[in-house]
Amino acid sequence: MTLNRREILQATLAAGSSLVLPDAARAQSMAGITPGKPYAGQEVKVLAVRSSQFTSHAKRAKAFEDATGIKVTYVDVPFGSMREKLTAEMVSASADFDLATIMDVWIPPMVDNYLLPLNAHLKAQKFNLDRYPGAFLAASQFKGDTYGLPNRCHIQLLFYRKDVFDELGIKPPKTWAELVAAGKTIQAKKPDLAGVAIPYGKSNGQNLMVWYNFLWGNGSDLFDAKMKPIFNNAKGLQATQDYVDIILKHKITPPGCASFIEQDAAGSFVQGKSAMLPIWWHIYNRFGGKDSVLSKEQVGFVPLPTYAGAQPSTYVNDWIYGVNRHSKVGKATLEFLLWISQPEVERAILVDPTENDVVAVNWSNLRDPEVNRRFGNMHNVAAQALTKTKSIPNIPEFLPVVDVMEVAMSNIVTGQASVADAMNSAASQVTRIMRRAG
Amino acid sequence: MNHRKLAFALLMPAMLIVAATTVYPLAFSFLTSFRDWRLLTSILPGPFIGVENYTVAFTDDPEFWTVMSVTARFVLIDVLSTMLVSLGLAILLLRAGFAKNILRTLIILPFAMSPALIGISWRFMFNPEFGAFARTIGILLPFMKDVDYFASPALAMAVLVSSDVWHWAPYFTFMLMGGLASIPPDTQEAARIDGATNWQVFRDVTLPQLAPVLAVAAILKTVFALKVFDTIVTMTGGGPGLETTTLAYFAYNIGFRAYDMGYAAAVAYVLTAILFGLSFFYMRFLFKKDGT
Repeated sequence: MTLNRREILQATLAAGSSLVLPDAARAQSMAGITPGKPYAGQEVKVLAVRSSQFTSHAKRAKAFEDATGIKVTYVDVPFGSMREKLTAEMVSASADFDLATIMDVWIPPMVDNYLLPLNAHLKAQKFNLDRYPGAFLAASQFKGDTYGLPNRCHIQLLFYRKDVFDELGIKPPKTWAELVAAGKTIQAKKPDLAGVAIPYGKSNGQNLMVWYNFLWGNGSDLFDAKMKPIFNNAKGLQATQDYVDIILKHKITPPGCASFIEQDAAGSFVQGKSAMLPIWWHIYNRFGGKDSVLSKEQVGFVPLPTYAGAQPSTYVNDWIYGVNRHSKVGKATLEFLLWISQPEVERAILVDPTENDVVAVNWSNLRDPEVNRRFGNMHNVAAQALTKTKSIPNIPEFLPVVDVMEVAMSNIVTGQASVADAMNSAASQVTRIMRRAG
Repeated sequence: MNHRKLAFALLMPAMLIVAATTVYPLAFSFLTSFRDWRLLTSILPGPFIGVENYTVAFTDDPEFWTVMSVTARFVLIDVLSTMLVSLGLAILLLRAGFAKNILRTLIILPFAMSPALIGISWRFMFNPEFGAFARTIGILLPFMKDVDYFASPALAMAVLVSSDVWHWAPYFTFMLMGGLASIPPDTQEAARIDGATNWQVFRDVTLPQLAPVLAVAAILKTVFALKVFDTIVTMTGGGPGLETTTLAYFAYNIGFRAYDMGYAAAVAYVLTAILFGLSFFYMRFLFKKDGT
């Protein structure tokens, strides 16, 4: 490859700027950008789920546009409609969008039908995937190739009312048994405050997201190595019993918790009606905000509890940027993908005082002292959980499996079936789904 | 161009639109119901597998029969409740005197609301912590305090049916008011002269004459009830378990959540067969009424 004088000057400026510019400006560095603006005038359309982080990306795309002449247009879709929108794009083999944000369990069906394999391009660009925790990367890797880059990933933490715990002299729980004990103490001393808000209601598998940690912590799993369901083995049944006992036996949940979806559980906590909340770390954005009666100082967080002697785990919610294989501006899209995925862009958002987004997917930012200072060490806690956690199975059939499992869980917490009956019935339905899938 | 050809030419654009928007999708989905087509693995329809999707529904999927049972319960309770409420309102409004026009205007408001919005607002109002309805019921009936309406199959179904009755009662009230107004008053007067009480007049004179309108209303409501979707999505999500999952919502879940398009088409065609049977009955009924 030969470079002309202009390209050499641009490359030198880009390299120099990354050394001398402050963090925020360095975030807009030109790493990964082809000199000479070869794709100037092209437009990259991004289909993004509505979230603060992708709004921040859209804002920062201006620097990329100035450097490349490529126009970037973000179109945001609410979470509730995103799956249908992606399905429609996939089925119609549409080239309307060049880059899309896709949630982990939606990725497998899109691998062969919509997403461009990226390994060759990443290798050519010397893009090191080791920058991401394995649990974040796992959702986008199939058959030895990579189909997207993690950009918005969430881990679970246990948020708790620090002021209440301090007042009552309770330590944040490290085990599920301690969580139950803390919940009982709080409800006894403060009758207007429920112990813990958990989304037990049926909606997009939300009533399974804390349960996975019970399952893993007690030594069970969803499937064995041959993809045979094992969540109904003795350890799985015990884990499920412990999970539902929180609401059915110990009664340390707020009224209505059996039909709570995630927003209801979060709402109960931020409105000061529950003392603990196991949920995604991005809830932290809401404390001190308009819809929260809690300030950031009133809230503490710890890794999710587990069983005595077991390592803490977290179920990971993973959003990637995937490139549409039907895109007519593929190279410009890849250029933007690598630019927006730079750790510096992510860090600039994390340390920007006008932003309030906690999401980090790069090890460097998870362990960054300034980031951790700003968010009370949250990212170090996340990094610790991410070194040990398991992932959900990366198979296309996982979507129908989740549908079956969430119905089973709903049946248990609403008293329509015992743990054993519901889990055994779910296992036979899951076996049928796997058999039908061949 | 003779009269027949001209008529055909004038009808042709409409026929083409109907063919493209109704006949083709119906035919395509009917063929899909005999295919193995899972979007999880391919965006192209898979091979024909005969009646396997229907066999799976009727013999291999326990959820299908749960959903059929829920659908039957929902339709039965919903149609009966809507007819009773609408008939009561129609009788009251027919005699409402000076307030008749105001009440008629007010009563139409629920019908003007979007079903999705109704689902969201009713879910909110029955939230045990901050819902206005749940709180009011808890005060009036203390044993209902803190009850989780959407965690109980019976209560979730009751709330779902109530919201649907609230939404549709205005429409059927006006339909039945038309029916009541068309009954000759002298038949009722004759009965009263013969010494019949108000109840006897209603039961033996009014109701038999209103029966054709009532039957049409009931069949129409049955069709509408079978199609209820938005309210379920936004209010109960089909739960708890599958206790408010009707056939229409079940077909949607299979197709657009589990991505099993062949099976979803088969389930949708079971629903279509039921709707077709009802429509057939409805048309026969109307033809009979018109004497054609």
